[in-house]
Amino acid sequence: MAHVQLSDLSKRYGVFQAVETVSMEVQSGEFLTLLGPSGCGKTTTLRMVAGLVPPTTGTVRIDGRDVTALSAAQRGIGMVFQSLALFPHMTVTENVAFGLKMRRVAPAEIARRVRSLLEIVRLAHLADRYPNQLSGGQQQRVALARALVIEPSILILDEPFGALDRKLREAMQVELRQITRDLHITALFVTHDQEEALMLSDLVAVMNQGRVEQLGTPQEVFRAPRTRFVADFMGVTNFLKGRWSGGVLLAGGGALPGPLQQVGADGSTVELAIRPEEVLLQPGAEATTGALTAAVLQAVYHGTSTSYTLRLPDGQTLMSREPNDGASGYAPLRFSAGDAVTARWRPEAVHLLQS
Amino acid sequence: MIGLMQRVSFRSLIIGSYIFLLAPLICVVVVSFNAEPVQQFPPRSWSLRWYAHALQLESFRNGAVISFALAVAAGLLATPIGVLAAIGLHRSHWRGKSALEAIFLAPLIVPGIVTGISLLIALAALDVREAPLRLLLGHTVAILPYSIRTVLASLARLDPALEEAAETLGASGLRSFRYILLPLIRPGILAGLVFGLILSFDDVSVSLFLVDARTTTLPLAIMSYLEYSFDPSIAAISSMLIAVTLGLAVLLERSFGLKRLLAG
Ligand SMILES: Nc1ncnc2c1ncn2[C@@H]1O[C@H](COP(=O)(O)OP(=O)(O)OP(=O)(O)O)[C@@H](O)[C@H]1O
Ligand SMILES: [Mg+2]
Repeated sequence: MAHVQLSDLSKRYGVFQAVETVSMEVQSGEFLTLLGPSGCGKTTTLRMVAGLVPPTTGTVRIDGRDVTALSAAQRGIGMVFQSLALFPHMTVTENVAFGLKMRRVAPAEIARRVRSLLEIVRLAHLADRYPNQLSGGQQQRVALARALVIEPSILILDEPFGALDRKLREAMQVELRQITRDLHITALFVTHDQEEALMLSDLVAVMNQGRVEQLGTPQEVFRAPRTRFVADFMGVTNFLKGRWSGGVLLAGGGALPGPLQQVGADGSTVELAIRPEEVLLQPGAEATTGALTAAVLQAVYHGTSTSYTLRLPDGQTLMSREPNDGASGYAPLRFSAGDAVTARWRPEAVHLLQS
Repeated sequence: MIGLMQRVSFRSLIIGSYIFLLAPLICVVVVSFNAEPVQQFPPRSWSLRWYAHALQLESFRNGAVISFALAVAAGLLATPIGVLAAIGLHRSHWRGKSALEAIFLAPLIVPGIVTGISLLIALAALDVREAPLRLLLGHTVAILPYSIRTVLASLARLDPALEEAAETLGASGLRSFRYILLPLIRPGILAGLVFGLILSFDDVSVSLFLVDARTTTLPLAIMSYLEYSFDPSIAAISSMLIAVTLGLAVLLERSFGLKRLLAG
């Protein structure tokens, strides 16, 4: 049970700004994921929360109390490291017991708590093994148990599942979510895997070059990306430039499906993003309002889907992706290069991006 | 066919190299069992009398005691200094770090005789006149690089996140050192200590400048004995030294793997 608040947190290494004015708030029991490409400052941000690196500026508050000056040992935050960092000279039991030993808990109590935690992570039968005698997934669970044994109200996990294969990864994700819910732990999680972030989190913070570009629920960042970077990271691959004209957005040589909420004055330009799977195609070029005519440049068969690259009359390109389910999976491709088509989509499918 | 020939010639090369390296040592050991008062190879008759003679010699006995005490004292002094220096070097990121590292490791590269002369001058300037103290300080400086080097090697193998993990679990600096760092670098520390013992015990070039008439080390006692007699008792004491050194090396290999330590 802990509420975490970061205010204007920055970290500079020499002249390099690793993290820049990050502010966010995580409610007690929430699961927040920092998502972003390698080097964007995810680890650095979490290390500042854990107390392992001092921030250059800004504050960290836990339950309203400023802990910026406290050492990691004093903060009592559980942490699972990117490299796991299991103590190689200690058995599973000793690894898990370490946090309690440092807190001078009575030996009998230590034994009891370690045993019950090893049962939670289903490792009781491996209690006397050394880390190098465990599989990757088992080591992962030891690291988790070791961090949880001190009953932290905040748990930080830095790409804990990076080294696991897909199946094990999914099993661990489910387990982790279950454990943090059961123990009502506030979790701060790092990943550069978009899917992992969406399925685990209550909140996702998409980071880029040391800044948080967007903070929101998984649906918000996935369905309504606010910047080109976030849209791109969420797998939106269509970007168009448009221009406002009396409440209508003109792009690609026609008027886009509306109604749309105009932002900015008439004549101002705007960048917009559309998911390829939202772009629906009809044969034949018929210019009506709310539809764009286009020529097929390329058709690519992907198995479960087919994608078409289109050229719009004003020269911009657009992708459309159709699922190959049911009967369409057995039919020949609907279009081939050179065909004239009409593209349309639901008005909500358009994401207006901030420049 | 060619593969077999290659293997055979490779084998012979290795065996040849070993014979070349070991032949002098084997000669010494064989000669030490000679019954005659001259060093001849191969001996015509055999006995252990030169071992008895060597063990009775006052200068050898005093030398052995001093060398042994010196090796242990210098090893015990150099090891903690080496450990602390290595940890400091490992952690620091400032610009002078590599210069300091070079200074610490200099006795490894500088010829022993230069180290000896420098120590003589420095200790004279500091007005340290007692031979035992001079030897102790000299040997400590001479073996320090080995301690630093082996500890640095084991530190380099450690995941820096280990100490951070300990810290998040509530271990302060000192306890993290005691429970995490120390156990993990212990093999490096002990290896440095054993190297130091061997080096100190074998040393001539540094001690040469620091001994006096009353206090001398075993290798120097052997050298001065050689000046006026050349009987097999030299071979006998050398054989005993070989046995002790070999024993320590085997111990080192058994406990930590010599190859791994030297590669580090
Ligand atoms: N101690 C340091 N000194 C100098 N630069 C550093 C230091 N630690 C991190 N950086 C730099 O800060 C930036 C952010 O690093 P960080 O480890 O937070 O990235 P990340 O988002 O966790 O990346 P990854 O996904 O690869 O783990 C990187 O460009 C990195 O090179
Ligand atoms: Mg990282």
